[in-house]
Amino acid sequence: MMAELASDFEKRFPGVPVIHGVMRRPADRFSVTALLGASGCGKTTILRCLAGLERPERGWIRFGEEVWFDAERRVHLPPQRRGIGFLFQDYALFPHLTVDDNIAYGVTDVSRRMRRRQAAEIMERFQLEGLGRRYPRQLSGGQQQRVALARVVIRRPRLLLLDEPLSSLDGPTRSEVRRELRQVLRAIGVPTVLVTHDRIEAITLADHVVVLSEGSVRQSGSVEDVFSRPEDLSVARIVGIETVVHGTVTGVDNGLTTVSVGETLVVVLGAGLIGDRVSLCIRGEDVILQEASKRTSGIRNQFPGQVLDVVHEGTMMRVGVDCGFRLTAVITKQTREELQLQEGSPVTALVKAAAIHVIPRD
Amino acid sequence: MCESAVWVTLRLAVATTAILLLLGLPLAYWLTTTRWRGKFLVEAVVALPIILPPTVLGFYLLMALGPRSPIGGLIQSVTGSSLPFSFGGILVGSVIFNLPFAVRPFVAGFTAVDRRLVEASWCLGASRFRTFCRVILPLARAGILTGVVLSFAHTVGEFGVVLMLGGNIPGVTQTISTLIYDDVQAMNYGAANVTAGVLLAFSVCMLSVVYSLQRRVPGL
Repeated sequence: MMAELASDFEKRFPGVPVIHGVMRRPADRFSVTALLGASGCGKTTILRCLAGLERPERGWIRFGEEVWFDAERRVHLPPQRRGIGFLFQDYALFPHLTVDDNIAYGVTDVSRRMRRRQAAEIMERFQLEGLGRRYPRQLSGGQQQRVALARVVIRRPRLLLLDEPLSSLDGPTRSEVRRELRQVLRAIGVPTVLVTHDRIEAITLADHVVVLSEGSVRQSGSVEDVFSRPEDLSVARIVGIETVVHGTVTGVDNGLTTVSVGETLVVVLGAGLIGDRVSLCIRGEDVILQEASKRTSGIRNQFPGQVLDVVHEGTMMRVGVDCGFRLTAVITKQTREELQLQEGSPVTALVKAAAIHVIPRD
Repeated sequence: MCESAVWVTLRLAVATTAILLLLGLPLAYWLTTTRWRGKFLVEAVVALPIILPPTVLGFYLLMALGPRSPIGGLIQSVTGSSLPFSFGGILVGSVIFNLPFAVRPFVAGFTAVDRRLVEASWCLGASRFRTFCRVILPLARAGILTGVVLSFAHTVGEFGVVLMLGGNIPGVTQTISTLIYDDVQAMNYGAANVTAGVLLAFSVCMLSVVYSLQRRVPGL
């Protein structure tokens, strides 16, 4: 049997909906799971319960063969004994200890020399050489994050838990670190659960997304699945992006990049190298539907396809189109009536190259 | 100024402060972290000496520790001596009377420590005790030092409890402040003036230390 991090528990706080943490993720290999939801939806509480910092009222948490929490059997392993690494939102570096001492803090079972050597190795790996004698307040946000990660990774945790890992960074640093972080996590190579309210962060960092609303899991699945096929309106609102597909760059020409998604070629803006793997994000409002026979000049992406389904969403309609991949358009009722769209109708979907958001993947 | 009174005062202040560190730190940490509903009762009892006249406390301690009371009788049968009118007696009184001056700054110091740093320490595998020694104590040190200085200085200037429990016996229980009282009773104003002046200067110094400690931002 495959080792799993599995949980099903309830945690109550007065005045808010019961938080219900249901999850099933591999425990023995690298994968990044994002808990995505608006602030106050309980995602941080779920992370804290996994860490052992909160004790749920009901249910259980298991990691492989180990029982970390079981309300009925009165089992509650303290955080010290779960073998986890927890990265706090503001990093929680010890302000009275130097970078060296922060990093070596969790290493206790080896000799002093060994400890120093391990710390030196990890500092090189996280590009922190020369900063060992500084105090946390003398570091930039990005450096603080690397110290916090180094301090956790040096202990070889079996599970990494990250609480809003990028939220305390300012704008430019954030997008830079976002790109690096996925590579860093892959290099560490242990299963990771992270909490975020930022969909771009979830798409960039995660393989698997768990969408939370009012304390409960609304949908759980691969990034592509959850973003392209939200199961209900609450999920659709949270993910906000109707189409996310993975593809490979096959051509670069004059600032325009061609990405092949299966058989379909999609033109996007921005430089990339041939062979790069990317995720394409397309919002439903940016997709225009028109009669299959008509041609429109000036729009680079014109995908002939067939309507898969039509769903009412208030005054708008959500139309899924099969154009080699599933593309979702959000259109008005009037447009739908004009085009007489129903399941199976032929249609052409138009998307401006500039409206497609490209995220590099490893 | 009588040297034996200075010596008794110093011994009393050092011993009181040491005992308050041992008793007060755990008590203060418990008060900071407990979720027990009856906590306010303990807080009220600890704060009582701030408003209670020292003579009241001294009187009750005298009754409680005297050889005719159950507690006093037990102490006498175990140790062979009774606490009132001895150095041990004024030490007990002094510890109780100074409890708020140590515990309240300790609690303030512990409260100022960011909870997430404590949790970060746990998640890095450190036991609760190691976390207390390596994270909580160093970050609460401004509050702890304030408590130490305040209880030391306050013991040096303590009068009512020492007089009630100690009986002002020179060389045994007579401290600087009770010496001043004696000198004034004996119309020995010159000696009282010198002693009082020294005590005043000492108090000003100690309070300056306390306020300079508090001005430092907790955690560097």
